[in-house]
Amino acid sequence: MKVIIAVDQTDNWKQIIEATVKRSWPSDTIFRILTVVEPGADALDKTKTHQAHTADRVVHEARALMFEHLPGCTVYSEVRKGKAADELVTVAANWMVDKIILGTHGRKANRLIPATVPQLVSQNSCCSVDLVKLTPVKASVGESSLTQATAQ
Amino acid sequence: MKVLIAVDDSLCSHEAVSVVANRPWADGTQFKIVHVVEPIAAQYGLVAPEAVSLMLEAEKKLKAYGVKFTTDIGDYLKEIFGDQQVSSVVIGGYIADSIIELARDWHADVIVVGSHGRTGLDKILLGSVAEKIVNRSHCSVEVIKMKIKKNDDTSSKDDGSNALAKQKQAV
Repeated sequence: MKVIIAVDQTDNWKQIIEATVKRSWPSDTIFRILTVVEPGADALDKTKTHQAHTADRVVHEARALMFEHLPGCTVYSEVRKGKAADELVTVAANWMVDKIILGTHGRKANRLIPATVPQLVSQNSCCSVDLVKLTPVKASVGESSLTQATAQ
Repeated sequence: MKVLIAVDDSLCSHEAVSVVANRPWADGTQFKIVHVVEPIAAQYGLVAPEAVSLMLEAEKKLKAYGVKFTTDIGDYLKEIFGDQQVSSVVIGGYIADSIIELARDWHADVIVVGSHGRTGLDKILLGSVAEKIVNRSHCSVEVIKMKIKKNDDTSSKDDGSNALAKQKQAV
């Protein structure tokens, strides 16, 4: 079984990993922890570098947590650049995964607010999608006040 | 752990059941199969009030049919997980709302639901019920998708029951 665990660069990754390790998995399961650094304007090089460092740290820590709870499991980690939903769907298709696990706040898209990453992934992915309900944590750097306000 | 499996008689729902059945679960995991029958009379009663009694009769038949196939699914899962771990229920109401409410009342940890993806454009879209559940449930939701081969002749209407029959044969 091949599983992608999608995490972002906020502290939410812990909840996603905890939900993942709580479940039982076939012994041959291969996990791939994936985080995507979204492209930004060139003027924001400093922010981009910070994001890349955060992404590296997050996947490293997430992988360590997986090993802690599921010793002996196979876990790869990867940081990609691009649009989160597009990258997830592409990797899922290329790697022929059985499941994508990602977090959701339960925000709903409408005319003003574009579809969220979980919505886009669940609509467009070729495989099953496990959406882990996230409980609100303190807003991290980069999370806009608009998205906070629209959280259900 | 409590797993709520929302089913209708579609092929996608049976795929969801199959995925649950073939996956390892922690000891003591409880499964509840839920099927929701929408109130037809409420939808059409205003348009044709004289047809309400017929609609109510149709609702009863749909509920009876729902009980039959949820019992079949329940029996199939009981063979795998044991009698005590599996239960099934058929309720009336609006589908997404009823599933979300039941999940909350039953303190479900995860809701498993079929994506209702079919062919063509539908293949890339999430069903409206699945989408509502994803957006509004208090717990995690697993949306099961199925890959349908182009020349697969399993697109006829009674494929759902056939799929369950195949699953039973496999067991």
